[in-house]
Amino acid sequence: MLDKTGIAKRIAKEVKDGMYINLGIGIPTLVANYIPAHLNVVLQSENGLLGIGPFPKENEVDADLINAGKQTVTMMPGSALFHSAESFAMIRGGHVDLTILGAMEVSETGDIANWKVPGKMVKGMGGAMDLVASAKHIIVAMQHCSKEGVSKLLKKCTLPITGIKCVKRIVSDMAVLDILPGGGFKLLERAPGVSIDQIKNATEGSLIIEGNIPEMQL
Amino acid sequence: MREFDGKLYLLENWLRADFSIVKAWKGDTAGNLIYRGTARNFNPMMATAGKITIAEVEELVPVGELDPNHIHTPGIYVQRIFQGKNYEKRIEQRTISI
Repeated sequence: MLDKTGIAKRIAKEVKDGMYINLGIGIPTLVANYIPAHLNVVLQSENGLLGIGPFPKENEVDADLINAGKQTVTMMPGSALFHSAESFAMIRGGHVDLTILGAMEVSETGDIANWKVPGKMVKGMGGAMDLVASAKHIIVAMQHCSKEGVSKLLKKCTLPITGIKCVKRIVSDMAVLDILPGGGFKLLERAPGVSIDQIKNATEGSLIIEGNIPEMQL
Repeated sequence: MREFDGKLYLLENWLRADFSIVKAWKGDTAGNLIYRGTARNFNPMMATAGKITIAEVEELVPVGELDPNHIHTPGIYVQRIFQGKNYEKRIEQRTISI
Protein backbone atom coordinates (compact mmCIF):
# COMPACT_ATOMS: atom_id res chain seq x y z
CA MET A 1 0.00 0.00 0.00
CA LEU A 2 1.21 3.50 -0.77
CA ASP A 3 1.33 6.27 1.78
CA LYS A 4 0.38 9.83 0.80
CA THR A 5 3.89 10.54 -0.47
CA GLY A 6 3.79 7.41 -2.63
CA ILE A 7 0.51 8.48 -4.23
CA ALA A 8 1.97 11.94 -4.91
CA LYS A 9 5.12 10.43 -6.46
CA ARG A 10 3.09 8.20 -8.78
CA ILE A 11 0.87 11.09 -9.89
CA ALA A 12 3.95 13.25 -10.56
CA LYS A 13 4.84 10.77 -13.32
CA GLU A 14 1.70 11.85 -15.21
CA VAL A 15 2.99 15.41 -15.53
CA LYS A 16 4.27 16.44 -18.95
CA ASP A 17 6.41 19.35 -20.09
CA GLY A 18 4.54 22.60 -20.76
CA MET A 19 1.42 21.74 -18.77
CA TYR A 20 -0.69 24.21 -16.83
CA ILE A 21 -1.78 22.31 -13.71
CA ASN A 22 -4.19 22.96 -10.88
CA LEU A 23 -3.38 21.09 -7.68
CA GLY A 24 -6.07 20.58 -5.07
CA ILE A 25 -5.65 20.63 -1.31
CA GLY A 26 -3.99 17.69 0.49
CA ILE A 27 -2.14 14.92 -1.40
CA PRO A 28 -2.35 16.87 -4.72
CA THR A 29 -0.33 19.72 -3.17
CA LEU A 30 2.43 17.20 -2.40
CA VAL A 31 2.70 16.32 -6.10
CA ALA A 32 4.55 19.59 -6.73
CA ASN A 33 7.49 18.23 -4.67
CA TYR A 34 8.02 15.32 -7.08
CA ILE A 35 7.65 16.94 -10.52
CA PRO A 36 11.03 16.36 -12.24
CA ALA A 37 13.09 19.55 -12.33
CA HIS A 38 13.68 19.39 -16.10
CA LEU A 39 9.95 19.74 -16.80
CA ASN A 40 8.68 23.26 -17.31
CA VAL A 41 5.18 23.36 -15.80
CA VAL A 42 3.04 26.21 -14.49
CA LEU A 43 0.93 25.64 -11.38
CA GLN A 44 -2.36 27.49 -11.07
CA SER A 45 -4.01 28.42 -7.80
CA GLU A 46 -7.68 29.26 -8.27
CA ASN A 47 -7.58 32.12 -5.77
CA GLY A 48 -5.67 34.07 -8.41
CA LEU A 49 -2.10 33.04 -9.13
CA LEU A 50 -0.46 31.41 -12.12
CA GLY A 51 3.10 30.28 -11.44
CA ILE A 52 3.15 29.08 -7.84
CA GLY A 53 6.68 28.85 -6.47
CA PRO A 54 7.98 26.86 -3.49
CA PHE A 55 6.87 27.59 0.05
CA PRO A 56 8.63 30.74 1.32
CA LYS A 57 11.59 30.91 3.62
CA GLU A 58 10.83 32.48 7.02
CA ASN A 59 11.92 35.96 5.83
CA GLU A 60 9.91 35.71 2.57
CA VAL A 61 6.50 35.02 4.17
CA ASP A 62 3.86 37.38 2.76
CA ALA A 63 0.31 37.37 4.13
CA ASP A 64 -0.93 38.59 0.73
CA LEU A 65 0.52 35.62 -1.12
CA ILE A 66 -1.29 32.36 -0.41
CA ASN A 67 -2.58 29.36 -2.36
CA ALA A 68 -6.16 28.07 -2.45
CA GLY A 69 -5.41 26.02 0.67
CA LYS A 70 -4.45 29.24 2.47
CA GLN A 71 -0.80 28.19 2.73
CA THR A 72 1.85 30.87 2.24
CA VAL A 73 3.58 30.51 -1.15
CA THR A 74 6.01 32.34 -3.41
CA MET A 75 5.83 33.31 -7.08
CA MET A 76 7.97 32.09 -9.98
CA PRO A 77 9.57 34.42 -12.52
CA GLY A 78 6.76 35.09 -15.03
CA SER A 79 3.95 34.64 -12.52
CA ALA A 80 0.64 36.42 -12.98
CA LEU A 81 -1.87 37.58 -10.39
CA PHE A 82 -5.58 37.98 -11.14
CA HIS A 83 -9.03 38.01 -9.61
CA SER A 84 -11.25 34.99 -9.16
CA ALA A 85 -13.44 35.63 -12.22
CA GLU A 86 -10.30 35.64 -14.38
CA SER A 87 -9.15 32.49 -12.62
CA PHE A 88 -12.39 30.69 -13.35
CA ALA A 89 -12.40 31.98 -16.91
CA MET A 90 -9.14 30.12 -17.50
CA ILE A 91 -10.52 27.05 -15.77
CA ARG A 92 -13.96 27.13 -17.42
CA GLY A 93 -12.38 27.93 -20.77
CA GLY A 94 -10.41 24.69 -20.70
CA HIS A 95 -6.97 26.33 -20.55
CA VAL A 96 -5.84 24.27 -17.56
CA ASP A 97 -4.38 21.02 -18.91
CA LEU A 98 -4.48 18.88 -15.81
CA THR A 99 -6.40 18.98 -12.56
CA ILE A 100 -5.30 16.82 -9.66
CA LEU A 101 -7.70 16.65 -6.75
CA GLY A 102 -8.75 14.51 -3.84
CA ALA A 103 -12.04 12.62 -3.53
CA MET A 104 -14.17 10.97 -0.91
CA GLU A 105 -15.94 8.79 -3.49
CA VAL A 106 -15.70 8.14 -7.23
CA SER A 107 -18.26 6.19 -9.23
CA GLU A 108 -17.55 3.76 -12.08
CA THR A 109 -18.97 6.33 -14.52
CA GLY A 110 -16.55 9.05 -13.35
CA ASP A 111 -18.80 10.95 -10.94
CA ILE A 112 -16.88 12.50 -8.07
CA ALA A 113 -17.93 13.46 -4.53
CA ASN A 114 -15.29 15.47 -2.73
CA TRP A 115 -16.81 18.34 -0.80
CA LYS A 116 -19.47 17.45 1.71
CA VAL A 117 -20.34 14.80 4.24
CA PRO A 118 -23.95 15.39 5.36
CA GLY A 119 -24.10 16.61 8.94
CA LYS A 120 -20.52 17.85 8.97
CA MET A 121 -19.69 21.55 8.78
CA VAL A 122 -17.93 22.54 5.56
CA LYS A 123 -16.99 25.93 4.19
CA GLY A 124 -18.17 25.06 0.70
CA MET A 125 -17.23 23.36 -2.50
CA GLY A 126 -14.60 25.90 -3.49
CA GLY A 127 -13.38 25.78 -7.06
CA ALA A 128 -13.72 22.02 -7.43
CA MET A 129 -17.05 22.16 -9.26
CA ASP A 130 -15.64 24.40 -12.00
CA LEU A 131 -12.41 22.45 -12.20
CA VAL A 132 -14.01 19.05 -12.64
CA ALA A 133 -16.50 20.42 -15.18
CA SER A 134 -13.81 21.92 -17.38
CA ALA A 135 -10.29 20.49 -17.12
CA LYS A 136 -9.05 18.47 -20.06
CA HIS A 137 -7.65 15.77 -17.82
CA ILE A 138 -8.60 14.96 -14.23
CA ILE A 139 -6.61 12.69 -11.95
CA VAL A 140 -7.98 11.84 -8.53
CA ALA A 141 -5.70 11.11 -5.59
CA MET A 142 -7.53 9.09 -2.96
CA GLN A 143 -7.56 6.26 -0.47
CA HIS A 144 -9.11 3.15 -1.99
CA CYS A 145 -11.13 2.41 1.17
CA SER A 146 -12.31 4.29 4.24
CA LYS A 147 -10.66 3.73 7.62
CA GLU A 148 -13.42 1.19 8.27
CA GLY A 149 -12.41 -0.70 5.12
CA VAL A 150 -15.42 0.35 3.02
CA SER A 151 -14.70 0.87 -0.69
CA LYS A 152 -14.70 4.43 -2.04
CA LEU A 153 -14.68 3.26 -5.68
CA LEU A 154 -18.38 2.68 -6.12
CA LYS A 155 -21.09 1.85 -8.62
CA LYS A 156 -22.82 5.08 -7.57
CA CYS A 157 -21.65 7.82 -5.22
CA THR A 158 -23.60 8.08 -1.97
CA LEU A 159 -22.34 11.56 -0.96
CA PRO A 160 -23.36 14.85 -2.61
CA ILE A 161 -21.78 15.03 -6.06
CA THR A 162 -19.19 17.64 -7.14
CA GLY A 163 -19.30 16.68 -10.82
CA ILE A 164 -20.63 13.95 -13.10
CA LYS A 165 -18.73 11.85 -15.66
CA CYS A 166 -15.52 13.83 -15.27
CA VAL A 167 -12.83 11.69 -13.60
CA LYS A 168 -10.47 10.06 -16.09
CA ARG A 169 -7.87 8.44 -13.84
CA ILE A 170 -7.50 7.44 -10.19
CA VAL A 171 -4.29 6.91 -8.26
CA SER A 172 -5.16 5.29 -4.94
CA ASP A 173 -3.01 3.78 -2.23
CA MET A 174 -3.63 0.39 -3.93
CA ALA A 175 -3.80 0.96 -7.68
CA VAL A 176 -3.85 3.12 -10.80
CA LEU A 177 -7.17 2.86 -12.62
CA ASP A 178 -8.79 4.53 -15.62
CA ILE A 179 -12.51 5.22 -15.86
CA LEU A 180 -13.63 3.82 -19.19
CA PRO A 181 -15.89 6.02 -21.37
CA GLY A 182 -18.64 3.37 -21.14
CA GLY A 183 -18.16 2.99 -17.36
CA GLY A 184 -16.02 0.74 -15.17
CA PHE A 185 -12.67 0.95 -13.37
CA LYS A 186 -9.94 -0.44 -15.63
CA LEU A 187 -7.03 -1.65 -13.55
CA LEU A 188 -3.70 -0.41 -14.94
CA GLU A 189 -1.15 -0.86 -12.16
CA ARG A 190 -0.91 -2.31 -8.66
CA ALA A 191 0.83 -0.62 -5.74
CA PRO A 192 3.97 -2.47 -4.65
CA GLY A 193 3.02 -5.61 -2.72
CA VAL A 194 -0.72 -5.34 -3.42
CA SER A 195 -2.41 -8.31 -5.13
CA ILE A 196 -5.19 -8.22 -7.71
CA ASP A 197 -7.46 -10.02 -5.24
CA GLN A 198 -6.91 -7.29 -2.64
CA ILE A 199 -7.88 -4.66 -5.22
CA LYS A 200 -10.95 -6.71 -6.23
CA ASN A 201 -12.07 -6.90 -2.61
CA ALA A 202 -11.54 -3.18 -2.13
CA THR A 203 -13.47 -2.07 -5.25
CA GLU A 204 -17.29 -2.05 -5.07
CA GLY A 205 -17.78 -0.71 -8.60
CA SER A 206 -17.14 -2.90 -11.63
CA LEU A 207 -13.43 -3.64 -11.99
CA ILE A 208 -12.04 -4.51 -15.40
CA ILE A 209 -8.86 -6.58 -15.46
CA GLU A 210 -7.22 -7.39 -18.78
CA GLY A 211 -3.88 -9.11 -19.22
CA ASN A 212 -0.93 -8.72 -16.92
CA ILE A 213 -1.19 -5.90 -14.35
CA PRO A 214 2.29 -4.56 -13.53
CA GLU A 215 3.44 -3.06 -10.26
CA MET A 216 3.83 0.74 -10.16
CA GLN A 217 7.30 2.10 -10.78
CA LEU A 218 8.00 4.93 -8.35
CA MET B 1 -30.65 24.04 -16.19
CA ARG B 2 -30.03 24.93 -19.80
CA GLU B 3 -28.22 23.09 -22.56
CA PHE B 4 -25.46 24.68 -24.65
CA ASP B 5 -23.66 22.59 -27.28
CA GLY B 6 -24.94 19.38 -25.73
CA LYS B 7 -23.76 20.18 -22.23
CA LEU B 8 -26.04 21.02 -19.31
CA TYR B 9 -25.34 24.23 -17.42
CA LEU B 10 -26.79 25.53 -14.19
CA LEU B 11 -28.15 29.08 -14.34
CA GLU B 12 -28.36 31.02 -11.12
CA ASN B 13 -29.69 34.41 -10.08
CA TRP B 14 -27.06 37.13 -9.86
CA LEU B 15 -25.91 38.25 -6.49
CA ARG B 16 -26.97 41.72 -5.37
CA ALA B 17 -26.00 42.98 -1.94
CA ASP B 18 -27.13 46.05 -0.01
CA PHE B 19 -23.56 46.45 1.17
CA SER B 20 -20.27 45.09 -0.16
CA ILE B 21 -17.28 45.31 2.12
CA VAL B 22 -13.92 44.97 0.40
CA LYS B 23 -10.30 45.37 1.42
CA ALA B 24 -7.65 46.77 -0.93
CA TRP B 25 -3.99 47.70 -0.70
CA LYS B 26 -4.16 51.24 -2.09
CA GLY B 27 -7.05 53.51 -2.92
CA ASP B 28 -7.63 57.12 -3.87
CA THR B 29 -10.31 59.58 -2.84
CA ALA B 30 -12.23 58.83 -6.08
CA GLY B 31 -12.62 55.22 -4.89
CA ASN B 32 -10.18 53.66 -7.34
CA LEU B 33 -8.65 50.50 -5.81
CA ILE B 34 -5.50 48.43 -6.22
CA TYR B 35 -5.21 45.04 -4.52
CA ARG B 36 -2.02 43.24 -3.59
CA GLY B 37 -1.01 39.65 -4.38
CA THR B 38 -3.62 36.93 -4.04
CA ALA B 39 -5.63 39.22 -1.73
CA ARG B 40 -7.36 40.39 -4.93
CA ASN B 41 -9.39 37.14 -5.28
CA PHE B 42 -13.13 37.89 -4.95
CA ASN B 43 -12.82 41.57 -3.99
CA PRO B 44 -13.29 43.08 -7.50
CA MET B 45 -16.48 41.05 -8.08
CA MET B 46 -17.81 41.84 -4.62
CA ALA B 47 -17.24 45.53 -5.25
CA THR B 48 -19.43 45.36 -8.36
CA ALA B 49 -22.24 43.52 -6.53
CA GLY B 50 -22.98 46.03 -3.78
CA LYS B 51 -25.52 48.82 -3.91
CA ILE B 52 -23.13 50.51 -1.49
CA THR B 53 -19.54 49.30 -1.55
CA ILE B 54 -17.33 50.13 1.41
CA ALA B 55 -13.60 49.83 0.83
CA GLU B 56 -10.91 49.65 3.48
CA VAL B 57 -7.44 50.46 2.17
CA GLU B 58 -3.99 50.25 3.70
CA GLU B 59 -3.01 53.51 2.06
CA LEU B 60 -5.42 56.25 0.95
CA VAL B 61 -3.97 58.80 -1.51
CA PRO B 62 -5.34 61.95 -3.22
CA VAL B 63 -6.91 61.62 -6.69
CA GLY B 64 -4.26 61.55 -9.41
CA GLU B 65 -1.56 59.69 -7.48
CA LEU B 66 -2.49 56.19 -8.62
CA ASP B 67 -1.47 55.20 -12.16
CA PRO B 68 -4.71 54.59 -14.14
CA ASN B 69 -2.97 51.64 -15.82
CA HIS B 70 -2.83 49.86 -12.48
CA ILE B 71 -6.40 50.29 -11.20
CA HIS B 72 -8.18 46.98 -10.49
CA THR B 73 -11.53 48.36 -9.29
CA PRO B 74 -12.65 51.64 -10.89
CA GLY B 75 -14.09 54.12 -8.41
CA ILE B 76 -17.59 53.95 -9.93
CA TYR B 77 -18.18 50.83 -7.83
CA VAL B 78 -17.00 52.36 -4.55
CA GLN B 79 -19.25 54.60 -2.42
CA ARG B 80 -17.26 54.74 0.85
CA ILE B 81 -13.53 54.49 1.49
CA PHE B 82 -11.31 54.70 4.54
CA GLN B 83 -7.76 53.95 5.56
CA GLY B 84 -7.50 51.25 8.22
CA LYS B 85 -4.99 51.32 11.04
CA ASN B 86 -3.00 48.99 13.28
CA TYR B 87 -2.72 46.28 10.62
CA GLU B 88 -2.07 42.82 11.89
CA LYS B 89 -2.15 40.49 8.90
CA ARG B 90 -2.97 37.05 10.17
CA ILE B 91 -1.86 33.96 8.28
CA GLU B 92 -3.98 30.83 8.53
CA GLN B 93 -1.40 28.33 7.23
CA ARG B 94 2.13 29.63 7.67
CA THR B 95 3.96 27.11 5.50
CA ILE B 96 7.73 27.44 5.29
CA SER B 97 10.41 25.71 3.24
CA ILE B 98 13.71 25.19 4.97
